[in-house]
Amino acid sequence: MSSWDKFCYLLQTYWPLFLQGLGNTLFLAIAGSIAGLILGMGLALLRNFSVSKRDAWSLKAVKEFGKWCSIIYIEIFRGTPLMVQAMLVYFYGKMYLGFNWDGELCGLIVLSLNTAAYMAEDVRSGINSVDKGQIEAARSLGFTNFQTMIFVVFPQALKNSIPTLLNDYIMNIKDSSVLNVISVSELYMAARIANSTTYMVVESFLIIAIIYLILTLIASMILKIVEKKLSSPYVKKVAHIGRRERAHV
Amino acid sequence: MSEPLVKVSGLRKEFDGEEILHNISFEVESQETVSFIGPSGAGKSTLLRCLNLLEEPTSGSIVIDGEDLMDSKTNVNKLRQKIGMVFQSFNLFKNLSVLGNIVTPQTQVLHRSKEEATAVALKTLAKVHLLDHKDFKIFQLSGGQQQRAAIARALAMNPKIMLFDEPTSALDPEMIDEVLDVIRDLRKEGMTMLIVTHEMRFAFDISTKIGFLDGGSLIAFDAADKIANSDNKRIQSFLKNYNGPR
Repeated sequence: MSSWDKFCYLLQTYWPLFLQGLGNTLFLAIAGSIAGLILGMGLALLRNFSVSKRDAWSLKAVKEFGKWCSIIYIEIFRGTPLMVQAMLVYFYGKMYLGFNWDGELCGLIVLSLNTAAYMAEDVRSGINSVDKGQIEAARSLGFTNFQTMIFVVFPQALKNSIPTLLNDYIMNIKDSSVLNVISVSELYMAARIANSTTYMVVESFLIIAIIYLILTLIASMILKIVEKKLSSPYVKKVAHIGRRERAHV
Repeated sequence: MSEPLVKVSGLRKEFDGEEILHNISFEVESQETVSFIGPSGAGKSTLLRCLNLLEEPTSGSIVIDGEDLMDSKTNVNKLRQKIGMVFQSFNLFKNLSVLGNIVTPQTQVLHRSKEEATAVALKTLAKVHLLDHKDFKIFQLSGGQQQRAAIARALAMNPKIMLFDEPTSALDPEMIDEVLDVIRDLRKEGMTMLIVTHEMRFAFDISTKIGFLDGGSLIAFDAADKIANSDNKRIQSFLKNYNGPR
C-alpha cells in the first residue's frame, strides 16, 4: 500500500471518528473561549480596580484583595502547561473529591480556566489602551467607577482587544489537543485510535494536521477581516486629532 | 448678600512633592462668567480640574453650592452632576452615537426615563445646532461639531456651573467661532461659567471677571476692564503679545 492509499483508506474507514474529533475540538475551542472570555473579563475588572483616596478602608481592603487574587490566578494559569493543569484537576477531582467525571467535562473546565487567564490579560491591555479622557469625561458627568467601566471602558476595551482574543481562540483550537491526556475524544485522540489498530501513524496524523490547518486558516481569515473593519475609521481620526493637539502645545 | 456659588480659599495642589498651585483664593457668584488666562503651565487647567475633583487638592477649601469638596463625606458623584465640564480634547464616548452620548449619562446618573432623556437631548442638540447630526458616530464629526456635542452632553445634566478647559485649543481656526458662539449663547442665558482659554478677545469680551495665573499663583482676579488696564508688569507683557496683530 502506498502512502496515498493508506491516507484514503483511513479517511474511508475512520471518517466518523475524525468527524467526531473535529466536532469535539471545535466545541472545546469555542465553548472554552467564550467561558474563558466571561471569566477573563471578571479577572480583568478585579485586577483594574482603582483605589481612591476617598474610599472607606474596608472598600480599599476588598479592592486590594480582589486585585491580588486576580494577579495570582493569572500568573499560575499562564505559568504552568495546560497539560499539567488538566492532569492535576482531573485526578484531584477523581481521587480526593470523589468526582467520577469524564474527561470531556473536566477538559472543558480546565481549558476555560486556562483561557480566562490569557484573555484577562488581553482585556486588561484593551482597558489600558482606552483614552484616559474617556474615563475623565464619564467621571465628570457623575458616573460611578463601576458605571464608567460598564458603559464606557469595557465596550471600547473589548473592541480594542478583539484581535488578540481571536488569536487566543486560534491557540485554543490547537492547544485542546493536549487534553487527550485525560481521554477527551478530540482530534488528536481520533488519530491515535485510528493508528493504534492500523499502524498508519504518519497518515493518520497527516489527516488531523490538515484538519487543524483548515480550522486555523478559517479563523485567521475571520481575524483579518475583523481587524480591517475595526481599524479603518478610528485610527485615522485619532491620529488626526492627536496631530492637532500637538500643534497647539 | 447670599453665599457665592463657588468659594475657593487657600487652595494648594502638589504633584510628587512639587507645588503646582500656591494658595489660591477667589469667589464666583451665580450667573458670573469667569475666565482664567495666563501662560501655558501656569496651572489654569489644574485649578479647573480641582473644582470637580478630577484632581484631588492637597489642601485648602473649596465650597460649591454650599457643599464642602474637601470633606471626605461629600458624595463626589452627586456633586459632579451639578458641575458640567468641557475638555480640550472633547472626550465624547467613542462607543456611542451623538445621541447616545447625551442620553446615557442622563439615564444612568440622573435616572431619567429613556423618553425624557431623549427629549432633553434633542433640546440641547438643537441649542448647539447639531440636531441633524444626532445619529452620527463620533468619528464622523469635525472637531467643532464634537466640541458642540460635548457641550450639549454636559448641558443635558442641567448643571449649575459649567467648566470649560481650553475648549477651542484643539480646533482648526475655522471651527473656533462655532464653539465660542455656543458659549456666548450660554452667557446670555445666565449660566455660571468658569473658562480656561487662550482666546483673549473672547475672554475679555464675555467675562465678568478674569483671573490671571502665572507660575501657579493667582496674580490678579478682577473685572475684565481692570485686568486689561492693569499696571502689573507681568500682565501687561502677557497681554501685549496677544493684543498685537489681532
